[in-house]
Amino acid sequence: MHLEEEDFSYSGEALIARPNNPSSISDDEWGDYLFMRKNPKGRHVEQWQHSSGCRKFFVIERNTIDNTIYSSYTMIQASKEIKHETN
Amino acid sequence: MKYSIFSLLKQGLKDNKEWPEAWSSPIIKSRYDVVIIGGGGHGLATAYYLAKEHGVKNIAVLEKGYIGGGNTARNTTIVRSNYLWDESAMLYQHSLDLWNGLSQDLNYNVMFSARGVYNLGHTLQEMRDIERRVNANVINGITAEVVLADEIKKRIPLINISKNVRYPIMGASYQSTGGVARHDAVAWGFARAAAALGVDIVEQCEVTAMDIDNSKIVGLNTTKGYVATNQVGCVAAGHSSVLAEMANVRLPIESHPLQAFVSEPMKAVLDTVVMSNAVHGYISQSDKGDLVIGAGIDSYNSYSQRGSPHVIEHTAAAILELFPAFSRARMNRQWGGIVDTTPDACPIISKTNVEGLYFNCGWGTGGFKATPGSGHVFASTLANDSPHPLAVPFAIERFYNGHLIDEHGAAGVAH
Repeated sequence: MHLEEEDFSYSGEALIARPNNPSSISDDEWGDYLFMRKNPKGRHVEQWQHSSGCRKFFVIERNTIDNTIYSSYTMIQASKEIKHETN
Repeated sequence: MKYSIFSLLKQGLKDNKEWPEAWSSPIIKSRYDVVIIGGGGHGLATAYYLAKEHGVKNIAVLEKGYIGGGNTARNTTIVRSNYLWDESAMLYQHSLDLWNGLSQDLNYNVMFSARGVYNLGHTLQEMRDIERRVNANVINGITAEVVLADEIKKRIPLINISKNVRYPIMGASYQSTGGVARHDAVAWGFARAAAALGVDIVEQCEVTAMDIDNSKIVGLNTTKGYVATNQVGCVAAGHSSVLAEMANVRLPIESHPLQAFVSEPMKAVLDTVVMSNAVHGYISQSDKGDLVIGAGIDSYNSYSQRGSPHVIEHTAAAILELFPAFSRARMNRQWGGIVDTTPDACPIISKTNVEGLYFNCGWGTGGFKATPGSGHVFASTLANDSPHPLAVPFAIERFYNGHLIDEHGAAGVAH
């Protein structure tokens, strides 16, 4: 099935875990969580929302040079599978 | 060679066949005192002011493409300084002050034309924001005034101030000292003036790795060999994150395509710059006669110098709401550039945790207007190993201590 890009909204880098204990971490750690981004030239793991459709968020791995999409995940799959790969 | 009426006459009599090249193409040396990565307007301006005002002799500018091939020649050339907050107003006004004498300073006509800039308001809340911004500008010594719809119509006859549109024009802020400049002439002018002061401009030379020893920069690997240096200024716009990763520096930057397009040339119909946040577009007419049109970024991260067609459609729709007469104009060329956006829509001019490594980036969608000022304060930051007073608020630390400079209102769309 083909859907237009306009059906979706972009929500940036995926799998940025919110620190469990914000009040006890340093300003550097909190600033890093809030603002710092990988912004890679190449493969990027990112969140999108099907905002004009089912409203679900999902994760894809996309190439930021030529827009090739390598894989897609539900949020639950992504948190299990991709984290597992990078750990 | 100094450009003047006499050199023009002399070369004209020789059938324009003996003009010397504007800047030379030197062989890269093995060591430089300062290396600037990125040969766009900001990088070249940095090198120029380093050589001119700080007496640094041995400088290289490394450019992975060619001079005038990146964002410097891909923007919509708008120059203004009507920012809300003191920090950014001062920085952009510093740049505007430099624009005013730039052609004489560089001995190169950058065609800066202070034809005025209108930022339209379409809702009551926008008009309140405009009043606030104009008042803030006036307090900061920046020329600004509020203009209402009827007056706008007198000054810009083609504009549509009808109430029978989705977002009727209610008024605008007007900065009479803003305008446009010829973008590629800015790159060429700074390149020529920097080269005349002994700066090596090395094109087709990409930095592939940074040599960092004990948290100090000691050299760079490039596609033209190794260069030893103890000071590196990164001015790579959309590619800043790529350089940062080489040094394990984290940046709050995301790279997005920003598209623009021009119409076929036509007779003079628009003698000023018109921008609108609400309908989301901006337009001016170049000296050549083409309408220069732009809008917002594509939403997704990208390093390809193109964007999605629906953004162009949205931009054209916005411009036609303002100027219905342009519906008959045919578009000539369309392109994209990669802009480095930050969370607070303000630049980063900063030292890093690596000694000798500095970043000047994050200018996002509105860097062209800042070209001379950005280079000027960054040169001072490099030369003194300490931020220029105007650059202090723009250090990377603001993302850790919370002192953000939220310019989305003034900079979110408009350039």
